[in-house]
Amino acid sequence: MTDFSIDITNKTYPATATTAAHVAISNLHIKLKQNQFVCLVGPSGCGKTTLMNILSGIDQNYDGEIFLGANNSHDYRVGYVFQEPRLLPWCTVIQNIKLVLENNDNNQLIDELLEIMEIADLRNHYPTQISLGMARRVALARAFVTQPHILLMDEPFVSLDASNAKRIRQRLINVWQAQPHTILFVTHDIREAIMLADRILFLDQAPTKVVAEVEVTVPRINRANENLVDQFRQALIQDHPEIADYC
Amino acid sequence: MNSPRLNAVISVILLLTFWQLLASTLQLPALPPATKVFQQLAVVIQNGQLPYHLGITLARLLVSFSLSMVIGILIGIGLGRHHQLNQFFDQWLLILLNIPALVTIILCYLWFGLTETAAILAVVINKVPNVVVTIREGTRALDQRLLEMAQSYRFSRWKTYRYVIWPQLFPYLMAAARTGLALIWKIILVVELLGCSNGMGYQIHLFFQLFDVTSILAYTIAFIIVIQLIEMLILKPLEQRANAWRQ
Repeated sequence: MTDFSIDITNKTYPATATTAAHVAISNLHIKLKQNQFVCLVGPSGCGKTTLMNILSGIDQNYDGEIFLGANNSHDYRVGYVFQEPRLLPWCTVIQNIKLVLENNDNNQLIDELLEIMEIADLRNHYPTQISLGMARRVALARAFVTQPHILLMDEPFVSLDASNAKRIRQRLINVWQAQPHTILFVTHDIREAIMLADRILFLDQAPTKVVAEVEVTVPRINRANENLVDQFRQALIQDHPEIADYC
Repeated sequence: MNSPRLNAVISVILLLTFWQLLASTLQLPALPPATKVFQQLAVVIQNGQLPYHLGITLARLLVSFSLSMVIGILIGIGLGRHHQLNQFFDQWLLILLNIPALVTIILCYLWFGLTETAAILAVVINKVPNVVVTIREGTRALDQRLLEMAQSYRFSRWKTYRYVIWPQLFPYLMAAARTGLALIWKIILVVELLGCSNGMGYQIHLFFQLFDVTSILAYTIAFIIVIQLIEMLILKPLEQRANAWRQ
């Protein structure tokens, strides 16, 4: 697995019957180091989901290039955890996970992921039979099982209660430490970003641009300590007044 | 026997009793009693007349139903997925939907002669637009979020159809199959009545000329029983299997 370069010169949504054409992204350049956990923080409508959709290949109507390593290539594997779990309701948990694999069912990896996510007992359940929190863990396992070059996460813990979100966040970190991947994680919540990320990018309103970039220096072992997280957030606001609104 | 089934049996027995009483009271040649009709049904089954003609009609039904469903599903998905294609062909569909079945049947016989192909074609032309409309609506209602999930995980075209699109279309497919079966039965009888020398429609035409109401009703009962068997033995189990995940 190698570094990722995102170089999007223009993404414009055409005019519709009710809205005028608008530029969502213009000259956005982001570099992601291999196995780095990067959080994107920005206001609603700043183009975060648009960027994720471009990287995932869902949206191919843009100008620019995505580089994987030295090659300009769209031939990279993506794991995408959406805001909703997006599991196929007619497939069991295990079928949902195996479906994203091309041919070789890596049973050992699947078992490992099911264990870390604590969903091994649910393998033969349908998504309609499990809670939202469990479904999100299945979605996480599904994303990791592809062993993606880049793992995209678009506010995956939104609409979960605080304790549930905290538990799943911890499981995400556990699985990421066991299976390191390059992760791009979108969130509104600066505290969540500090708890998870190696690096945080702050985005401004569309057309999307990076207004600030910080390395999270809080040791991972201390990130469950909310006081330390909050101290880092306060220091961040002092150093970067331009992002105070996001924090 | 569970309550709904018991209710259904009681309801049918009541209907037959009412028919028997009415026929016994009125004593009209146009309304033979139920017992006489069932006796006639036993006779035509024993002498092989009914199985022969019913078999021919069923074969025509099977061919025209299968053709209508396959063609209708393909066109329906095409129109549902491609907006411009749909805009272009929408008027064609409207015209086809509004041509009376009798006109299509007569035109097919005039253009292609009193042949088996013309008979099947007439039924297919009548049925395809209904299947197209139902499947098109189903395709338009496909969950875009699941399609995006499939796209981001690079599902092959086959996998997307098999696991994402097909299960969502299935209820629409069943609706099209059910209404299709009912419609095709009716059309096939007219087709046979107008231009065939065998089949249920031809026989009913014969009984009409002989004013043999008993035989007409005996054939009709056989007809209803076959449709119910198709529903109970094929359509219901298929639906239950496909909907197992909803339990």
